Amino acid sequence: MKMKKSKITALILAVALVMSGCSSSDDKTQQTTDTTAQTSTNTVTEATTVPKTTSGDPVEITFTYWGSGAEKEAIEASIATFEDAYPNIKVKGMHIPSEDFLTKLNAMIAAGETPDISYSASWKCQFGEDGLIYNFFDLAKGDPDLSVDKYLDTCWWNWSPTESAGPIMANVTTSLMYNADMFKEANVDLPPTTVDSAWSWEEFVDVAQQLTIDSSGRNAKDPNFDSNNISQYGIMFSPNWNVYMPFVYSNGGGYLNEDMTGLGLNDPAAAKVIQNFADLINVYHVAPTAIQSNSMPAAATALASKQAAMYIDGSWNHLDLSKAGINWGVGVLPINQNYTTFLDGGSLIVFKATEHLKETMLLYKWITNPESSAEITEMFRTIWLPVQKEYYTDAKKLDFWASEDLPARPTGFKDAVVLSTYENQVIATEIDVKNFNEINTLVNSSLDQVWSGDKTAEEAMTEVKDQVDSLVDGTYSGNRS
Amino acid sequence: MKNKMTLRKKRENIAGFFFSLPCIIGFIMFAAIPMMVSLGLSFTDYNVINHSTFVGLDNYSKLFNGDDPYFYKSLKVTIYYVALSVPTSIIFSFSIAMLLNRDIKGKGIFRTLFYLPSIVPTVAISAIWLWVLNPDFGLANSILKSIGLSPSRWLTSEATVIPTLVFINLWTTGSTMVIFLAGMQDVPRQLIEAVEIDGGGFRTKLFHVIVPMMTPTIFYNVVMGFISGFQVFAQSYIMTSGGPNNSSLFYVFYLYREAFQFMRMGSACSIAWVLFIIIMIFTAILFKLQNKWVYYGGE
Repeated sequence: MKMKKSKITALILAVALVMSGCSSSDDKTQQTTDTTAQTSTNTVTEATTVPKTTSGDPVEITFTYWGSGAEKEAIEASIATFEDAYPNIKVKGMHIPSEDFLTKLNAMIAAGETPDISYSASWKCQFGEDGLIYNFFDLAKGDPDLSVDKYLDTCWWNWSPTESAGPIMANVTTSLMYNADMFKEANVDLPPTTVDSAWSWEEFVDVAQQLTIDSSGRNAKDPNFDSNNISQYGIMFSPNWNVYMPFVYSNGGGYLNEDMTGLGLNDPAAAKVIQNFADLINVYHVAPTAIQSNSMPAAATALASKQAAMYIDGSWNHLDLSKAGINWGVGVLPINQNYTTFLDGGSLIVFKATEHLKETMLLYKWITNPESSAEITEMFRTIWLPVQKEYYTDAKKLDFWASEDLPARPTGFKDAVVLSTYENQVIATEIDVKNFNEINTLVNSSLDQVWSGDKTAEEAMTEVKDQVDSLVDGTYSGNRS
Repeated sequence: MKNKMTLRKKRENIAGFFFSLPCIIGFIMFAAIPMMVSLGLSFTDYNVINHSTFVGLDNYSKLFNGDDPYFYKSLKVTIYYVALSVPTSIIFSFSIAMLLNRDIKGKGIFRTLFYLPSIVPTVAISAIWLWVLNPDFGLANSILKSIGLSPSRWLTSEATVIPTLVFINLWTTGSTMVIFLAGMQDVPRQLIEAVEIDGGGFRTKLFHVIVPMMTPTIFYNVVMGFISGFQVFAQSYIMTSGGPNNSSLFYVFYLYREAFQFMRMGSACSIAWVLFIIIMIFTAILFKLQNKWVYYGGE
């Protein structure tokens, strides 16, 4: 009997462990909210014009960010040069992996250790509505460096027409990347780099077929092609909104319906596009089946190991591709009508809890200025695209970051990535659609059935529409997205 | 005399209490208080950064009336996983323990080899299996194809994802195996010899001596397997993100997503409490049923 009793206790203890994830203290939250309320009573102008420190007394600001190893190194080095330029400011940089970022940030806020400035994803609009962060339009008032019309029109993370979490800090876009050697081996012309010469979807499928090879060396156009033993795929794509939405917009569809009261992906114009992507897997067998799990290799790996000849995903892959030691290139997306795409990225948010607004804004400008330091410049020459208009319109400035002599900017980069996007951009879906995070979680899991070929895009999207519609609350811009 | 005994007893009690104090304090600080706080929060719309307001039973009713698109799905997925993983892992680790209990050369090496996967971090295990089970380029399908079988979609199909995760789970049942192995040392030698003298074979020894004598150990492992099965999280978090189409959306992963992706802590706490109650009920049932099959020596 003794044995049993002790076991029961042990079991109860074990079970209790599951609850610990929810632990937190109400008192602490209370404190933070109070501090936040207090600091928010300081008007912005007061804070910007009155320096809180003298030059002899260094102030410390906390900066939370995420990113790859390369990005972490660049930020760390850039912080060091910033500190050299402003000896009275100490920056406590905190790198937090993106998947834990919000959790950690929430914990810091709850513990009264709110950072001064931070990277942010779509949850920032909630922070804005809750009054935790500064309205960028207020911060920019009277500061010529941050003048609103210096930035691209589509890059604003606004939570209301007059309130903004700021412009994107550094852009990325959807990009068609390829391994040029594989095109040569298959004797296929390289993807076009200008919008005017872009492939139609049918031409794109045709090329993908020629580049998909089975274990006996036959390509997917061969009548004896063995789709069960494919050794090289023509195309890989990440099954995410950033990949299919440019095609949806170009085809006249939208993420939301016309009056923005519900999902729009079930409409024929959008569903057709998603179905096209699914057909690459299940009808043409030119794309791998394992796209919905986490097992898909990244673009650099897939192209370097010749698992795929083309890859559609974000332009953040360019850095790794440039380091992969392969003959790679970029093309325009295969959209030959009404080419529409977008720039996307997080923004730097400034917390109202900061006691050093002036210093924080100096860091803000430092990080977002492509020419502030060698490390930041390097980021804008490999992973990021600038957000300030002049870097697109001024030929010299454009060359500064997009010159095709730079290692991560292959031939055709300016046309295929910069111009095609700059001239045909709308606001990114993620930035504009309210409740996007939750809506997209529903949409994504439902799309799994489409990628697996169990349902058509129209069926799957129609099925999930009811659940999605209850979450749809229009867009931040007021226009359809 | 009577008084003296009581005094001694009292002292012993006090000493005992002090010895268990660290454990008790640990339990109160890190389990009891957080649990109570989380129970309180489950009746609010707490989201960490804001003032929370009391919402009564809203969080709970939202779960049960079907407003939440994931609750029933994740419950179903988790129960399916538990129903498959508990019996398979018990049978598997018991069989391995039986094999490792034999007096063979290099027994220590084999025991180490079978235990080893349990000390490999889940992340590493997941990464290896992701690679092996990749339906297009993975080792598993290459082997299937080379022996003329049709390839499986493994983690990428709604039908096969849970059985695949159950299969991967077998790989990490090392600690269960060790507990079985320890239990087997207590099976009275003389009973096994008695069977041998009477001419009983392996089967008789197994089902009439070893298994009955091992029922407390089996019971313990069933209960633990059951609880950890309900709390399974890392595999779906790392390998499948709950997909495809939420078919591996384990309950705790769903809880995690509600808390840390959608920032609804209040609702997440209610989800945790529902799980607590579910596990408690099932565990109580298991304890009730043990009278029917568990044999404690000496009772």
